[in-house]
Amino acid sequence: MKPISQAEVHPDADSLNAFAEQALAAPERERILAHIAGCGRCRQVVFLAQQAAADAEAALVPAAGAANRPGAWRWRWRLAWVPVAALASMVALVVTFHPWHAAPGPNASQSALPAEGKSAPSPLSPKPALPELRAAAAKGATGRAGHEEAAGNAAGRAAAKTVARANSAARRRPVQEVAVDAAPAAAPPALPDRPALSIDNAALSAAGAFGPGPEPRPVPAQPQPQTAVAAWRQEQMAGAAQKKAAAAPRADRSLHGTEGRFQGGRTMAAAAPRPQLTAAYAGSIESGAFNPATGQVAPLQPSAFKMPSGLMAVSTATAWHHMLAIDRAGALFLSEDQGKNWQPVQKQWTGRALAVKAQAGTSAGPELDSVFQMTCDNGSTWVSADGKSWRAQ
Amino acid sequence: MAGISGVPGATGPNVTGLDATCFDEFWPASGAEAYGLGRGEFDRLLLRIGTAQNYGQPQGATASRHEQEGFFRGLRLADLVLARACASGHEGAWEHFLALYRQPLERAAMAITGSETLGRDLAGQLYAELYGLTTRDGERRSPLESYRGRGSLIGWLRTTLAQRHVDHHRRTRRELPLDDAPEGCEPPAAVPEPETPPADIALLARAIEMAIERRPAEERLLLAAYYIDGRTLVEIGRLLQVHEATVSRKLRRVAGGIRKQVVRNLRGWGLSKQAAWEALGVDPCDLDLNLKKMLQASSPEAFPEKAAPQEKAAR
Repeated sequence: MKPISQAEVHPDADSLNAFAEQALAAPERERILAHIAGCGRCRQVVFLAQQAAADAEAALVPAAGAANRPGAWRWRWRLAWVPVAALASMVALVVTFHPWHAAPGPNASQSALPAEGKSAPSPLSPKPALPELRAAAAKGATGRAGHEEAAGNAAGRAAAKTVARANSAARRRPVQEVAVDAAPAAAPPALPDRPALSIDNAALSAAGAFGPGPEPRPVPAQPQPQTAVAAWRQEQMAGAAQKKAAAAPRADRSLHGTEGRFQGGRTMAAAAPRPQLTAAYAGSIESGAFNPATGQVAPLQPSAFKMPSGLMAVSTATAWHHMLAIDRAGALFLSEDQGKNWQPVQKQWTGRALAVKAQAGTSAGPELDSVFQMTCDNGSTWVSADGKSWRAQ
Repeated sequence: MAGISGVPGATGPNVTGLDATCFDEFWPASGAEAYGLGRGEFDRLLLRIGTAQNYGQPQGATASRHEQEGFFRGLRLADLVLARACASGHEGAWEHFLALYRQPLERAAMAITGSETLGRDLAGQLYAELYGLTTRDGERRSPLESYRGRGSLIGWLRTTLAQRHVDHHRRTRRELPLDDAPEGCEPPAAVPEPETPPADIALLARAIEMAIERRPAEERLLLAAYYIDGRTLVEIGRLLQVHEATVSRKLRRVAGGIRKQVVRNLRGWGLSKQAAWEALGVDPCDLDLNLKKMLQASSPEAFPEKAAPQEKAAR
């Protein structure tokens, strides 16, 4: 057998094709392999035929459609893995971060009450640093209100040492956010017989941010077992409320004593039934709350809504299905689809709009004469039933 | 069994053990009856193909009944029957053939030649050959007779087209005038003196040659396809039915293995380890090595029996 450097003896088309299609038995395949390893002509033939087959496949795939290909279901399922993986990631994130916000951190209770030793460590607190910070902030607030001693445990003193840390963290974040973080951390774990409050309701109990309304009442005593832990936690909540009331005109007054959470101006109401309102004013989000005690408007806080003017909303109010928002320039916008689309409201008032609020009974519809109330920087107050037409009050 | 053992050409121990029910199963599945192919002719065709290939076993080995059945079951019977019917000039078979393969054949020819005009020419020439315009001894001959059903008929057609194109290219390249010779064929103007002594360079060349010769066929194919033909990893992977990453890994492994083998060879010839590794750093331009020739010369097998007479006649 001579070397086949330029031999004119080559495998025929049938053998080369069978080799390329993996249709040969092992012995013959080895022979063909050994040949084409040393034969440039046959290698070229095989590769050209493969290239033609690949081109034909590429032309057939769009025509036939992916669904008709064998194994297409596998491809479809492979595509389905993308949203499934995204969904799983979201669920994992929610499961991971939900205990930080929705449920009070057991670690916070633990750090606040090491003496009692009644708070079992919970697996739902994945990050010990944050609950500790929250507990410290809450404790710091409570301590400043004179409730540290009432707590009567060493945890209060330990937490007081971390107030500086909490304050430094608070300097880096908006005041509201810190207060919101502190509130759930200081609150006890949710009890089945205790109705959860939403931010909306909490806003109502915030000493009537709406003119001469009734004074806010503290959160009523909850029907829960009068254990030492529960008593301490109620004191914590009451202390936080008093502290916030004393710290007017801070905008976080509308958030005291709640289990809800505030995220950049949006409310996330708890799933529990809404308790009776304690104020005559309906729930609304007031970022730039008007303080009746001082007669001044609190510093406006940035909101999550971005207005068509390109500025962030500083004050929003919701009534019926209307939502009003004032941007930083004082322009008023109206949304009838829960904040998805905003329309500018023609200016019918004097001065610069600072805050907007909604009055009680708005859930029933726009029967009331004045549903929305707007406060301007010149002290004038304007009311409107639909958010579009305004008149001086 | 009478239909098999009694046919001409169905001789030898390989055939007598085959179960007739196997052929009974093949007959209706092949659709041979539609092309006027009788059962006896069908059986003879299969047996002829089986014995010619020794049922896929090495020459001299006796295929068992199981191996024979496996060989027959691996055949593309419908394609085989169609090809034979076309080769024998059956009009219905040709209509079916054209309906099935006309467009794919032209597309394949265009893909192979890279030109629509050349592709149509190539496909037209192959049609003429397939239809049997070539005669030998007064008898019409068609390359379709050489199709033995081991792969698909469209694959066979593509391979045949590629063969025609490559052979044509190689023939015409030899006729290329010297003025049009591609760049790179010109010898360098001045050959610099190598720094390494020529004796060591010759030793290194010999060591490389021996290292490559000892590599398995698949590794040599990888080297030749990648380094000589310039094929991509995807193309090589498609041929070997492996992923391109696997081809890449294999190539790395082969290169590393050859390097080590070269060092071993050099050390076996008296060089120190350091000298052997230093020898690997010689400029390849200083080596008198023809890798292409080396890989071709290392091929142990030729296929004299596979040179189909029909193809030779067609050339």
